[in-house]
Amino acid sequence: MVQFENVGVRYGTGPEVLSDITFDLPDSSFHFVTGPSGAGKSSLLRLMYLALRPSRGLIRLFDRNAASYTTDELPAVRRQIGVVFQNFRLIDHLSTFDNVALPLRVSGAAESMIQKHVTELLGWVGLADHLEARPPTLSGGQQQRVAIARAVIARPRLLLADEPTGNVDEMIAVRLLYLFEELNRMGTTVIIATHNEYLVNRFQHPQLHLEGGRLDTRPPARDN
Amino acid sequence: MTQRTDLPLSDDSTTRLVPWIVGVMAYLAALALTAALTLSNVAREWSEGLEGSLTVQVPAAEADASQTTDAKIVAAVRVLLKTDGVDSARPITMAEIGKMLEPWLGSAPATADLPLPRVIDVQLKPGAEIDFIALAERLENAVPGASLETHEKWRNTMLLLFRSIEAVAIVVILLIFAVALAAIILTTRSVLAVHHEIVELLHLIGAQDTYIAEQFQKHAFHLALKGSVGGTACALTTLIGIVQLTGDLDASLLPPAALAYWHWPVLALLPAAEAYGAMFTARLTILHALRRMG
Repeated sequence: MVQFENVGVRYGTGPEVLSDITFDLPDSSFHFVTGPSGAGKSSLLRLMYLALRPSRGLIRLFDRNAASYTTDELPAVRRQIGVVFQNFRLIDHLSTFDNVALPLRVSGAAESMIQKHVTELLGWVGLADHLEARPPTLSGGQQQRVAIARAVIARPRLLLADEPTGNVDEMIAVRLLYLFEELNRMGTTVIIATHNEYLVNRFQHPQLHLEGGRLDTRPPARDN
Repeated sequence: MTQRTDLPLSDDSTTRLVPWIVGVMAYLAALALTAALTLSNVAREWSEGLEGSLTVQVPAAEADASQTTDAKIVAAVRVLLKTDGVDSARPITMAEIGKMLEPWLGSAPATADLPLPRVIDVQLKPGAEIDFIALAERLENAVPGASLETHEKWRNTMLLLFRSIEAVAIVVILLIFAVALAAIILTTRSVLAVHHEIVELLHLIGAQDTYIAEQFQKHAFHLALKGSVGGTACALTTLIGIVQLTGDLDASLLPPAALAYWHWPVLALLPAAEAYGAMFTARLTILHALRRMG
């Protein structure tokens, strides 16, 4: 599903923020990306959702060299990837409903299907009473749940989440992790960048640990 | 669900002036188009009116001359009617000449005593081939001083003038369109810069460039339509005013400078043409910019 071979990233002429990253994540796997702030977790995810090109090395995504995707092919590839951004990146003038519906609309889904699925998912994440609310009127935790709902609504093959539980309490965080696990059981490959050691310990999944720009693959937390 | 767009374009202050810019351009374009259409009409009617005709000018007789002016006219008409290809030869009456000269010389009685040359309006048969040099010689022999005016040179000069003004009007229309489209391009680029983050987000969740471009082009279409309808309506009001003001003028030298019936729908189609022009310009601008964003 996702393969990195000796991938390095540098911004401008600065030092490499990621060096010699090599791993192979199979289909339907679940991984945490851990590491201290500034270790390069967000850069690693940006490489995976094709918002950043590596300075060197090879990235294979969906069994194809990511550099070989043409501009015309990129939208279809990106529709298979759900992303929960660290700063949510919700569209302020759109309602909660319309924000979550966005991935379905850009893929041309029928409005009746959009109504059904979005309403159902927003109910599941506890936002059934906020369908018409604009993001600025929601709390940080609510915005985060909207961002997660938007990332998963189109049933992506690959789900990338950057600190998806940073603004929610423990109970909601656990509930969201169950949602991610449910998607994973249905075949979605899940990669979650987090600082939350409680979740990493509670949900037993292998880790991609980053430190000083280098990656160390670790087994699930209880085996440490 | 209410009608929505992913980009908050309707709240964008950068596009607020677009309807005004397009409106002014539409106003100028409508006037320039009217000028081009009217001149084309005048040139055609005037040219058709002069084709197949010629004028013979007979000088007024001196007081002591052996041949009176009327006798000269009769002699000239006789020569003309004997010529193959001439359909009719009608002397213009003094009353008609007086009326033609009224704007310059005052009322008809004042011109009665003037030694004005007389004019014979000659109509030719369709396709007639006449040797004008030989005809002029025969006229000169019958009526010394009579001259033949085939209008050819004057008509060609006037037609050249009309066509030149018409071409200038068309160039002006094209320049107006170019300026309006340049304004749309600049505005679209600035709107794209303002909403760069949302556009990038749409890209990341898999939106195709055409999906994003559609939102910009619809917005550009509505803004341009609003402006061009207003501008064209103002132009039509101006034109109706001009038509009413000039309607009573009795200008006999040239055909009346009026719009043909089919010119009005052409003018009415201007707003749609301008709105669609703005729409396609915005679409091409956005697609070009998005392709560069990758």
